[in-house]
Amino acid sequence: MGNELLVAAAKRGDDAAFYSLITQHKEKMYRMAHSYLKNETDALEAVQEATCRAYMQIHKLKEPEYFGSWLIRILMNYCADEVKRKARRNDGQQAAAAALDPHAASAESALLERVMLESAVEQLDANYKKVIQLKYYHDLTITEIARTLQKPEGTIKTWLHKALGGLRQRLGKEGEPNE
Amino acid sequence: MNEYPNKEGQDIPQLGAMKEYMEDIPIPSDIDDKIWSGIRAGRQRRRRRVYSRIAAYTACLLLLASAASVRFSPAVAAYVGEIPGLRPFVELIHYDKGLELAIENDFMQPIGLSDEHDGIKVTIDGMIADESRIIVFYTIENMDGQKSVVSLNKVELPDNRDISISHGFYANNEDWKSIQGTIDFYPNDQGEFPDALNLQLEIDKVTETATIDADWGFSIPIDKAKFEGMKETYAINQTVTVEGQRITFGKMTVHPTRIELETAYDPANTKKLFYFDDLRLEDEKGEIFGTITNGVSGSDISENSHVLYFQSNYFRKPEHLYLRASSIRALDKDKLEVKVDLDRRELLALPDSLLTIKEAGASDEDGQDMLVFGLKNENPLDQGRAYSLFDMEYTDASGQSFRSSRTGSSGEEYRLYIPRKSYQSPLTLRIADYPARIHGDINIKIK
Repeated sequence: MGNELLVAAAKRGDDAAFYSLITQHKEKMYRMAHSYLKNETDALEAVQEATCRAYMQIHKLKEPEYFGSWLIRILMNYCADEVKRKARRNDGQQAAAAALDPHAASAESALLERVMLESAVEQLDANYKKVIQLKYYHDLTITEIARTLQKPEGTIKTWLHKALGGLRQRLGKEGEPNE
Repeated sequence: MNEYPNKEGQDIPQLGAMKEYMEDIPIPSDIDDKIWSGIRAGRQRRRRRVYSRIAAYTACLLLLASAASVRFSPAVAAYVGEIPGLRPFVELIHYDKGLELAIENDFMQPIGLSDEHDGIKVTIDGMIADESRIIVFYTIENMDGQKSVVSLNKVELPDNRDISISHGFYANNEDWKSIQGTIDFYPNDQGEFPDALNLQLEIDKVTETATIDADWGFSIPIDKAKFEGMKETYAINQTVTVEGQRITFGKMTVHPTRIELETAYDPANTKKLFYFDDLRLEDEKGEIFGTITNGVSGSDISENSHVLYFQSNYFRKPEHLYLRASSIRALDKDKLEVKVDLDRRELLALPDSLLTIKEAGASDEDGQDMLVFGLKNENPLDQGRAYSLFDMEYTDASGQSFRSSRTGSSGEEYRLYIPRKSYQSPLTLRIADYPARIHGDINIKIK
């Protein structure tokens, strides 16, 4: 069954159709949640909550062919709220800067580089951070990012450009030629 | 600016490594269970959500009708006269006698927490709380006089997703200074309130394309000692028959903020019962407390049983209490379907001649068609009442089901907006409320 048929079936209340739509995106959902929340329990909770919200709102989905972008947007909104909430609970401390994953890279220097990069990304403005994560962590195209964030492609390109500038500065690459 | 942003960032090799790193994150095996849990939770929440939205919509109309004439009982007027700053809040709840009584009896918990972002300051002034309901009173202030229309876009308790939230918001003009309102919270499924509500609000400026990337957050303590042990329950367990239709009243629970009454309709009834016109609680002095008309007016237990909510006479401490009603809106179960022939603009099945179809065609909204019905109704009981005639779900001749995005009504006209599609005529709609009634004399002594 094509995705548009699946979406139509899901809108009619066919739970199996809805489940099969979600499973197509479950790995991306989980990894994306993990990059925001940094641990398995919270990431799984995010997958569950995003599934629940998508289920409640699927009758409002206007473009069935972009189910994936729509779903990821729901997930990201949830994760962003969760991060803020945790930060508030930790008395303003950045929850995001918390843990190093045990299954991290083998070489220590690679680990260090990744941690430095992640912490530089964390310091970017919310929109810049989203663009960097979607593009480089999750391998989305500019078109897909534009659809997910509901912004024109031109805006995404501008954000990406500025975000990279910000990263260079934070990673001490300021001054190097960037063309 | 760089013309090829896809190639950008190659000078930061760590970025390229991130994708691989992400792909190495193992996917836990119980993810499928979590997805099914999400689906189950969604199904439950959707059911509840729809019900309270309809209730709020009806309430909104009633509120518009009564906003012009805000009046207080003399006792309340005297009380709010004594405490400066309380008056605007009493105006916000004047539609509910029980809440007025609660304020009069010093049941308001003062809070006074504020949070400010981007020139907009939100203050949680106070709350009225008991086991079954919390009403939070807030004030939003425009600190530096920015010109823009705002709306309360999101109200969330991220820590307590099993608490239902209901709120309205008044339209404001660009030159607003402050806005006051209330937010209602209800625990679902016999749940309990936590010791504090971690509340998050999102406010949008309608006139700007960019939204404020901030939440107004509060941790609002609930003083549970203030309402401990206040709940009173009565096992009514009586069945009455009105024009052959059996109705059973089960348990009644009295809280300071509202009274809950379990009501069940016999599945064998020949009519579908929609709503009571005049269900009320009366005390020995003849003072009447009606059902809640603004906010959540009822919730479903199952298809044939509901909990109905009344304004509370808790603080009156009545000696005797009677449940009374004489008129119920109801329709034969075999008349609930309305069939609309889209091509000939005719009703092929309809409950009676009060209902007519006036239009079927394009609306002035993108991608939306519109069905316009006429409802001839001269019953004095329905003065100023706008009927929510149909369920939002409908089907076409192929059996496929669809969902209406919104409805509207004015005078004797009722509009149902439907997404523009190539439907197989006729459409089948299902009646949700209708000016047809059964009459009887319900009079039950509760104590």
